Amino acid sequence: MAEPTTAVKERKWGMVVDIDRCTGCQACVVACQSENNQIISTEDIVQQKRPHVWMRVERYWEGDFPNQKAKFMPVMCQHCENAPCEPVCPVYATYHNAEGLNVQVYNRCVGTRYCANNCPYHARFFNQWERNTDSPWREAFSASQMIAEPMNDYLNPDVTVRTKGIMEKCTFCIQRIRRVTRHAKDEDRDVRDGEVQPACVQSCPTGSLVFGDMRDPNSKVSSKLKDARAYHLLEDLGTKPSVTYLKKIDPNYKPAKGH
Amino acid sequence: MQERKVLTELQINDRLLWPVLQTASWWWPAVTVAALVLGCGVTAVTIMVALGEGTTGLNRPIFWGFMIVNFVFWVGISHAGVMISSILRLCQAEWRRPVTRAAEVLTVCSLATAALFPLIHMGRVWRFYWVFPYDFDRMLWPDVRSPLIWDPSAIFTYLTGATMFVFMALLPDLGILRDRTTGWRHMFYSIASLGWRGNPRQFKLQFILGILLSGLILPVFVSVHSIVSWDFAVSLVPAWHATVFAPYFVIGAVHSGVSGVVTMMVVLRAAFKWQDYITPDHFDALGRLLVAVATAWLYFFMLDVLFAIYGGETKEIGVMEQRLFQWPWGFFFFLIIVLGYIIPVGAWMFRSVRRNIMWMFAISIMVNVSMWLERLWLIIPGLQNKERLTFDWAVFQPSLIEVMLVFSSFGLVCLGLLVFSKFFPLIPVWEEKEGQIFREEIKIGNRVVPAIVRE
Amino acid sequence: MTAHITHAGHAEGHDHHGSEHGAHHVNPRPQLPETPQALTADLVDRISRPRLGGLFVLSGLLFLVGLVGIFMKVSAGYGDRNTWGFYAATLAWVLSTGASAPILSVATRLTKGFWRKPLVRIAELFGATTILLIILYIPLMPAIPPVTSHVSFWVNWEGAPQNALLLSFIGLALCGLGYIYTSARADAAAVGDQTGGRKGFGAMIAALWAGTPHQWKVMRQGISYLASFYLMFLVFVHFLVSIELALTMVPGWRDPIFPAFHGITGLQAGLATLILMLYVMRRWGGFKDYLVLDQFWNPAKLLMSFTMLWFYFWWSAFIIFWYGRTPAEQGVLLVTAFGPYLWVFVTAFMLNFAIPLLMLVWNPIRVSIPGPVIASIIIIIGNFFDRWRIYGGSFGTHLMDGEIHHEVPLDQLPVFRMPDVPDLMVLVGAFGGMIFLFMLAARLVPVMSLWELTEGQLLTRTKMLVKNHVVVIGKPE
Repeated sequence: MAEPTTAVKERKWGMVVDIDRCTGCQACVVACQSENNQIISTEDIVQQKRPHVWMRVERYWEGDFPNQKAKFMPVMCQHCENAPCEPVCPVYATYHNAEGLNVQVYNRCVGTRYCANNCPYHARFFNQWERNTDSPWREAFSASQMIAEPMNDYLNPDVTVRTKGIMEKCTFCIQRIRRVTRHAKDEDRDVRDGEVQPACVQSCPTGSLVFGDMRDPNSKVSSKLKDARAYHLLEDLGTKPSVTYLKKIDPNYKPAKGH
Repeated sequence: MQERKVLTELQINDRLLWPVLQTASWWWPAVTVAALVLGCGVTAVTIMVALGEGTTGLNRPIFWGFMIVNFVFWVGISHAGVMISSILRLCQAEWRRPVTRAAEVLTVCSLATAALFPLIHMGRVWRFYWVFPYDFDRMLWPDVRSPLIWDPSAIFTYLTGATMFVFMALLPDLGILRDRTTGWRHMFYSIASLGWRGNPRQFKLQFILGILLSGLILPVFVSVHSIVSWDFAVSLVPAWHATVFAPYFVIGAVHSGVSGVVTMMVVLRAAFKWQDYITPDHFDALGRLLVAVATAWLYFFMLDVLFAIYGGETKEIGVMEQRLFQWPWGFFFFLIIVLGYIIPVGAWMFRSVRRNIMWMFAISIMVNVSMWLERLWLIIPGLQNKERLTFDWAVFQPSLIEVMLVFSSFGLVCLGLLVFSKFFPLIPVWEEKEGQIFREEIKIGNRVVPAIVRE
Repeated sequence: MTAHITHAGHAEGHDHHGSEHGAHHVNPRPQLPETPQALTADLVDRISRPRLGGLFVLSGLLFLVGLVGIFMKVSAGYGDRNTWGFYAATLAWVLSTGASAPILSVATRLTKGFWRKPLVRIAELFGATTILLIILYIPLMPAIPPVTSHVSFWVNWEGAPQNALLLSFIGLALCGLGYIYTSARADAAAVGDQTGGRKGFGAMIAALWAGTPHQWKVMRQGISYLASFYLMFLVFVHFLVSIELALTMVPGWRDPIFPAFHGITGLQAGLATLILMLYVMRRWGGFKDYLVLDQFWNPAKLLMSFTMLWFYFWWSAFIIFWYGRTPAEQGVLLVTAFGPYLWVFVTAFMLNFAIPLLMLVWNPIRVSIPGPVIASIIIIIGNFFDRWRIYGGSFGTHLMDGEIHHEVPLDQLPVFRMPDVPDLMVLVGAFGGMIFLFMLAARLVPVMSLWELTEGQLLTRTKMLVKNHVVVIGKPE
């Protein structure tokens, strides 16, 4: 039961990704891109190996046709407690906030890109081109990034559009977290479980992505964390991610004799 | 040391000061070429800053490329000055005399060039000053946990120290120049020489200052390249995260730097007609020093390679395998070992090669090519993301902008040296005169042996 | 401008080395007899009347105690690897102190200062302590875990670590003894000839030495090759010992700088051992006139640099592990420094770095004779604590069975173990053994390098420059 209170409650946001349920549809990818005003990763951008996919679905194939198996793994910023990207930023543009989020401060970032090198999940993205200008000669070089009218209507007004030279990444849709938190405070109540839904979670058709407060023992996220299939990516690095994955179940798996 | 020419003070003054008092015929063309090369770089930087990092070959996940390789390379070259100047000064080696100033100036120019690269490769260059702790009002401090804060501290300390070193050693020569010039030059040298009179008290103070600075700059010299190496080593990138980087980079820097000094000495000798001052003896001594340094470099290099393989970590083995066997990294590895160790050290074992100016020139250039490739071989493969989460791996292809930047950095250093040579003599006049006084010969039995005066 | 100075003069002069301005007006150089003949006669006299008999006997007894200790340890068996950690530390300590001391002779061969000449033979004679390495190592061989149970350098060749180490120790010993032999031949001949004929061991060493130009040339070539071989072998032995006895036994310890750290700290302790023995030779060995301020001050400058390098190499490893924050690396830091062996590590840090550096930065301490000696004693003790924390930690680590990757962190920390009586007997015996082997070598082979000193004297002159006496040193190529 949620106690109505105006005090700030200690929260720890986390996500659970059930790989068994993921179909690789990439609705989360599209939703994230729209919600967060990311660049549209066109063909030439992808050819340059610079797509912005804050949420990406990694696809791994095992075996050969016709016994080929696919594994889909949605990967986003893991919001590590022991984040390798945090101590290396020279200007404190990335830090860990009290709610367990790894926060990226766009207007502080000077673009040294050390954080991106140090992220073992490769979850960070750099703005290589300028997007907001109508200068024709710049357009010649970065046409695909221009957001000419009326395309700019697609932009989410809650989120900035980043200029060139700045690092960005998944924020667990902090704008949605803030909106819900403010709304709950206005109504003098706690944030309810499931009320905050990042764009990816909201769009997932199979319910593979679950988001919530890991400190709340009654939340859906907490119950999923107790699953025996739970693991973290790159656990041996000791980054203590806030994103937990649930292993895929292979229905055709036959255990070897003696196990 | 073998037979040496006996030179009078007048001859020394005349020969070493003529580039300052008159202009060599090739000086203006050389400056023009260097400035043009530098101009390419300036254009490239302008385009890059105006349009964004997209103009480079950097991508995701390879966020650091040629510019950082070049940064490490030039910091490496800058280590020669301290090595030769301060260590040889403390060991009282006589053969350092003609080499010290040129090496120190190479240090200052290459370090200043190196410091530009982390600056221009920032995404928002115009906000560079945020790495300095100036915002007392809002208490917005830089993060001292970051190696990118240790870097500017170390580099500025080194740059200050090296500049002081050059200036301190210049004082007697500034006095000489003041006494031989008129007009605005005379005023310039008068101010710069700080009232140098050349009396015993001043010489004693200058000597003590030299020893003190030599001693103080040694820890700085070791720590600068160690700190640069920790930019890479403290991260979690495979192939970067190794404990050996600090001494490995320092020794590599000495290797590359001293070879750079050899290159420079050959050019100076020919350009300024200093055959009496830069003799085969000097190249002989430099060559022997380089054998020891190169062997130490090879030891650390082998430690790095060996531990990546034997350590049992799959991602380390994976990246090392790429670096040894896959194109183009395997080819670079081959070039690095052959051009950086096998050919040079093999050649330097022979006295006749060490004393041959053209061979030393060619080999020193070979060494620096190999050391540039070594930095490339160290920095890029780990970033390719071909280990662990391999879904979005990439390769690096430099763009024209980056190639121009690398190329123009050589122009900048050359320009710095050329401008310096117009205002100050590149061989210390007073050191040469002191060297003449200290030269002796002693007779043992039938043989006359060259000797040095020691106090 | 040039003056042909044809007479040999007193090697007398002001001390004015620039960095110690005005601090001393004591002549730091030895006052040698005037002619090479007088010099040789004086040295032969001192060499043929060896002193320190008491030390010889005492160290021999300690050595026997050590052998008994080894026997007791072997009888106790190899069941628990943790019991052999202290022993392995003793072995590494002997490697770092005695066996590393000849490096001063090797490294300074390239420089041409006079100061090294009275101490080269003493440094070279420490090459005899490499025999002790073999004696200590053989009982340790069964304690090294089999190749299949841990990450090995040798790719699963059975017995490879043990045998490679043994071969490298033997190679080092051969190099060390060969170096002594080559260097001492001429001197053994000179001493024999001046004391009525070459006899005994001296005759064996000096066999067929006639001092012809060709023999001198071959001898110089040989010395320079053996010197480089000794250096390379020593580096290689430090490499193998640090890998096989430490790195491979701790999961997660991927540390490329560690062999270099082991080598550099070994050189520091070797230099300290040499300085200590120089003092013994000066004070009780009868060489007071030859081992004067220069012979302590110059090594002290080197000792100060190596002390700073101790910290540099240790810090390079620490900062990478500490910053990386992966569980495997945290485990390594606990095993080697901040876990069960914390107080041993802190002692090692203080004795190897903090105290010696704070001592040696002060001119009055560095430019003296007692100062470097005391710093050296502290470093020798500190080096032992450093080896104890490393090998105590590595031998005490529980090796997990099966496939050992360095990605898997430790499951438990090593148990701290205080040394028992056999361990202490071995330690005492090792210390005694090093001294005993040195003393033995010093009795069989001339302990001062006559040919180097004579050569140095021939190349040194004095003259007046303006109003000062200065020394002129010849530099033949």
